[in-house]
Amino acid sequence: MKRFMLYAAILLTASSMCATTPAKTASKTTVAKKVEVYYFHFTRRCETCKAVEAESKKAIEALYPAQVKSGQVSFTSINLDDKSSKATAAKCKAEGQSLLIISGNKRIDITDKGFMYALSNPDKLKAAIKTEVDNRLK
Amino acid sequence: MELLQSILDNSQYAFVTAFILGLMTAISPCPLATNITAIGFISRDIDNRKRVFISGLVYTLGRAVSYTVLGVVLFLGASHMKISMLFQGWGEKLLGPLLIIIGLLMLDVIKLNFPGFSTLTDKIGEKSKNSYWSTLLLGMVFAMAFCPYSGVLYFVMLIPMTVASASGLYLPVIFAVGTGLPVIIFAWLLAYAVGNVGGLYHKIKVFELWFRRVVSVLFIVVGVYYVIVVYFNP
Repeated sequence: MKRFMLYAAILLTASSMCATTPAKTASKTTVAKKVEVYYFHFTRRCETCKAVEAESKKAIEALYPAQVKSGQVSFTSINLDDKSSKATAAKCKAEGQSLLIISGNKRIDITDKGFMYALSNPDKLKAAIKTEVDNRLK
Repeated sequence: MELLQSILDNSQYAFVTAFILGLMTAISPCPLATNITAIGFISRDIDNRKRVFISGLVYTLGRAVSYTVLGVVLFLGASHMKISMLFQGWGEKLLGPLLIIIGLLMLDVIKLNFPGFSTLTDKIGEKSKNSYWSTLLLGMVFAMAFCPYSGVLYFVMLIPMTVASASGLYLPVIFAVGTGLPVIIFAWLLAYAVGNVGGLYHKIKVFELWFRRVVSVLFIVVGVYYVIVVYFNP
């Protein structure tokens, strides 16, 4: 139950971010693109799975502190076993456990990199996230 | 694991990648548990060394059948999202109860006439003609039990290579050989290294009866492990 509440809270903050960002960035001359990083998983997770979440979150926070604060870049972990996850999973076309970067209509799947590097070489995962997120922020 | 990953990173050939992915699946915790159960299951015919080794191959063939059928279904255009979600979400949840039921069937606690399934009541020493079918079925079922890590290896890494073109459809077979390799090796060891000991036991029918009981209990123990891990999430 606690866990469910936690995910519900994460989901709520994520959706409220969606709602508030355009207003904040509207004052700028060019509307900054929003980049959302999602990690979808099931209740039961392996060690690598947990590392994928931890490392991606760490990477996003370290690489884009300002953008995270402004809501332009976000990291959200979603449990597919929660019924409330369905809408987001459908929006992101999550196919089971996955690490996705969503920006507008673009959907970039970096699940393979996440699982390859999260435990053995987190820097490589960080670099992969940076490349993709930078591309979208341009 | 890191060695495998570095090979995977530098691999130029799809078949090498598929094989390494299979090996990585085989040594990840949960297929390891099913493989150990499978080794117990196929070594119940310990008095017939050839049979044990062939069973190891049949089990791997069973895995190959499941992986290939799934691959073909996805190649033919089934919704990747639905299939992947279904197996990643349910494969493991059904495995625990299923293992417990198989264990109970083998122990004769539950009585059910199931083709190809030999229980303790079968005349000891008289081999059921269908017993390769049960081994094949076991491989097929175990392959379907995708765990968090193996699910990603199969659906995220292997399937995209497989469905890219019809020529990739052989890759799940290579993957299956990788996943079943520990079982093949153990079957080979049991058949040709421990096989002599089996010959010694050949006359002692009691040994077989007890060995079957041990295997049944192994199924139940592994089943209980899965139920606890999946449903109670310690």
